[in-house]
Amino acid sequence: MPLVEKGFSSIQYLAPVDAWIAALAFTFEIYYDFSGYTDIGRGSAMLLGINLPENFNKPYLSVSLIDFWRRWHMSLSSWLRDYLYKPLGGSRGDTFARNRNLLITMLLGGLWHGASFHFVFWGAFHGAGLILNHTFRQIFPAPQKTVSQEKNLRGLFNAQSLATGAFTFVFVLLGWVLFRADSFENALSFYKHMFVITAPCFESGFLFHAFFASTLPAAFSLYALWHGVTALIQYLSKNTNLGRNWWLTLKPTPVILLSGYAAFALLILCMASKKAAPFIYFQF
Amino acid sequence: MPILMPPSSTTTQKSQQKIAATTDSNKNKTFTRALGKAVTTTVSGILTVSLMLLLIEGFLALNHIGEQEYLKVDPVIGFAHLENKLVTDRSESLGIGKINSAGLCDTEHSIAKNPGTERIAILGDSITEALQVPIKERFARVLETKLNTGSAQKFEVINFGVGGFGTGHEYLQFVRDVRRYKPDQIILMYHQGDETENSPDGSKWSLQPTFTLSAANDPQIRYQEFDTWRESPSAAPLTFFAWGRRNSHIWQCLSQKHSTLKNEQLYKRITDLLAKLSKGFEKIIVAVDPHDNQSVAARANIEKQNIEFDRQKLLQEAQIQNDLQPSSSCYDANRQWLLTAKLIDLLNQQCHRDKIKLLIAFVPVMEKPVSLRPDFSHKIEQLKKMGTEKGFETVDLSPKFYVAEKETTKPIILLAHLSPHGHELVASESFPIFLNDSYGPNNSCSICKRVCRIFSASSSNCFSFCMVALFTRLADDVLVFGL
Repeated sequence: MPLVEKGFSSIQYLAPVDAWIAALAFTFEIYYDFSGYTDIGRGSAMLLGINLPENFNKPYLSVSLIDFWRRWHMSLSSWLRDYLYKPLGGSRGDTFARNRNLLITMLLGGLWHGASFHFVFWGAFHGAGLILNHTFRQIFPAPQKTVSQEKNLRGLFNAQSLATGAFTFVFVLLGWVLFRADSFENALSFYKHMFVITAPCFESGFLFHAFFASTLPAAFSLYALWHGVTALIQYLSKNTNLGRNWWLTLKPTPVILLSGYAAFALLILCMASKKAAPFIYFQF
Repeated sequence: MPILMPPSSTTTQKSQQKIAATTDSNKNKTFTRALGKAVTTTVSGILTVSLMLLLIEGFLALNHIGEQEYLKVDPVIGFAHLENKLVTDRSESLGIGKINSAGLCDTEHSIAKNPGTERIAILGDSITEALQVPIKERFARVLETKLNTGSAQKFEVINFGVGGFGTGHEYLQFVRDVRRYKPDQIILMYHQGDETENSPDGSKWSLQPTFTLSAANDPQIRYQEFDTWRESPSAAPLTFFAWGRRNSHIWQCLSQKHSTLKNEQLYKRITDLLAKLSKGFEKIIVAVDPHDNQSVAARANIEKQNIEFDRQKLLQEAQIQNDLQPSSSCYDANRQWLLTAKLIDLLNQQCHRDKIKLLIAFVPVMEKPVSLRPDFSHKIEQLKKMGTEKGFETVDLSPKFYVAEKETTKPIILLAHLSPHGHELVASESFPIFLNDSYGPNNSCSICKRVCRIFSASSSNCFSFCMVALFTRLADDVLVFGL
C-alpha cells in the first residue's frame, strides 16, 4: 500500500514520524505526478509541432512563497495573475487592497481544485502566506531574486537562501496536508499527529519502516545522484579551469544518447509500482 | 603562335580511364567510410547497451530490487524453492534472505545429524516459509535459540515451509525430503487455508497436484489439472527463462511475478511466440544434428517416464492412490476437512513408523477482522481427540494470539503473514512444550517408568535412572526372597 494512502487513511494511528513521512511523501508525490503529467502533455504537443510553455521550474527550490508561485503550476498561476489578480487591481492600490486581492485570488485558486472546505482553506493558507511574504518584503527590502537567477543551482548554496528555502518548503508541505486530507477535520487531526505525540495503537514508526521496505530510498538516491552529478558538472565547467578538460566537453553520439534514454526508461519500468495509479490532477 | 591541336584519341581514352578510376576509388572510399561508420555505430551501440544493462543490473542488485522469483516446478509435489536463490520480499515488509542449497527458506543444514542433537523439522505453508521477515527472525530460528539457551541438550530446528502447500503436499514432502534428515520431531503448522489448498476448485489452482477422496474415503492424489498446465505453453516460459528468473534482476522486475508461478501480464503474452519458437528450435536441432536420434519429442517422452517413475515410487511409499477420474470433484467445507484429517492421520502413521513425534500447532487466521474470522474450535477439538487416540500432540496458538493482539502495540501480522513479533510469539508458545517433562504420550521409559524430557534420547538420557530402578528392583527381589 502506498505510503501516502496508508498515512492519510489511518490518521489515528500516526506517530509524529509517520505523519511527517506521509506529508513529505505527498509533497513529492504531487510534484512528480503533476509535473510528469504536464511533461507528457508537453511532449505529445511537441510531437505535433506545438511548443507548450513549462509548467514547473524546480518549485521546491524556491527561496520564498512568492518565488514558489512563480515556479509551481505556472500556467494556472499566471492565468490567475492575468485574469483575476490584475483585473482586481493587483498591487497597484494600497497595502490593504493588495492583500485583499491576493487573498481573493488564492481563495478562488483553491476553490478551483474542488468545492470543498479543505481546498478553500488551502487557498487561504497560501493567500495568508503570500500576504506575510509581501509585508515582510516591505519592511525589510532586500535585492529581489528572480527566477532566472535561481535557475542556476549555485544560487541556492548560501546560508540565507538555504534557510528561507527550507522555511518555504515546510510551509508548502503543511499546505499540502490541507490539500490531501479528505476533509478539514481530517487535516486538523493530521496536524495534531504531526506535532503532538499521541498514543498510537500501531507500532510507532510503521510508515518509517514501510518507507525503507519500499524501493523509494533507491529511487531517491538515484535522483539525488543524477542531480548531484549534473550540478557538479555545471559548476565545474562554469567556475573552474577544469571546464576546459576534454571529458567535460564530450558530446555523446546519438547512439549512446539513445541507448542511455532506453536504459533510463528500462530502469523506470523496473522500479515502477505494480499497480498503475491515475494522475492526481485527473480529478481537477 | 601556339597551334591548337585537338587532343589525340589515346589521351582522351587515358583521361577518361583516369576519371573512371577516381570515381571508382571515390565510390570505394565512400562505401568504406559508410561501412566503417555503420560498424562503429553498431559496435558502440552494442557496447553502450551492454554497459547500460550491466549498470542497471548492478544498481538493482545493490538495492535488492527484482529478487522476488523463488519457485520452480516440481513435477511430483507441485513446486519447490529455487536453491541458493536470494529472495527479497517487499510485499508486506522488507524480508531479505537466501534459500539454502537444499531449497529450504532457512540457514544451511546438513542431512547427516550431529550425534546427541535433537532435530525438529517444521512443515507448513507461507506462514512457516516466512519470506516477509529476515531469516534470523523466522520462528524456526527463534525457537532454536530459545531451546538451546540454558539447556544441555542441543536442538536443531529446520524450516521446511513452502508457501501454498496444503497438508497433502506437506505429507508428500515429509515422505520424500524431510525423512532423509532423520528428525526426532515434526511440527505441522496447521492453518485453515491448508484445507482449500488440498482440494481447491480444480480450475483455480493448477500449479500443484490436488487431493481427493476415494469412494472408500481414502485420500488420493490428482495430477491431471497440474499436468495439463505443466505441459501447456503457459508453463513453457518457466523453463525457457529459467536463467533470467534466477539471475537477472531486470527480468524479475519486468516479469512482476510474485508468489505464484502463473503470470497474467508478461508470461502469457510471450507464450504464443515461445510455442512457435520451440517448434522452430525443434526443426533446427533435427536439421543441424541429424545423427541425434533422440528428437525433442523422444526426449520429452523419456522425461515423462522419469517423472512417472518418481511419482509411482513416492506414492507407493506414501501409501496414497493416484486419482485417475476424468473430472475432479469440488468439495464443500466438511469434505475438505475430512480429507485434511485423513491426511494428518497418514502423516501420523508415517511418523510412528519412523519413531518421530508429531506436534500439530494451530495457527489462527489473523489477517481478517475479528468478526470475520472463521471459527475452527470444533476442528481443534476433533484433532485434539484424534491426537489422544492416535498419539500426537496438539497446541492451539489462537488464545495467546488473540490476547496479544489486544494487549500489545506491536502488530502480530504484517498484511497476511506474521510479523517478527508474531514469529516470536509462535516460538515462545511452542518451546515450553519441548522442555515439559510430561511431554508426549507413551514416552515413558519401560525400565524406570520415568517420563523422559527428551523422548528420542531416552535410552542414553535416563541410563542412571534405569540403573537405580534396576538395583531397587533387584534389592526388592533379594529382600523378598531373603524374607
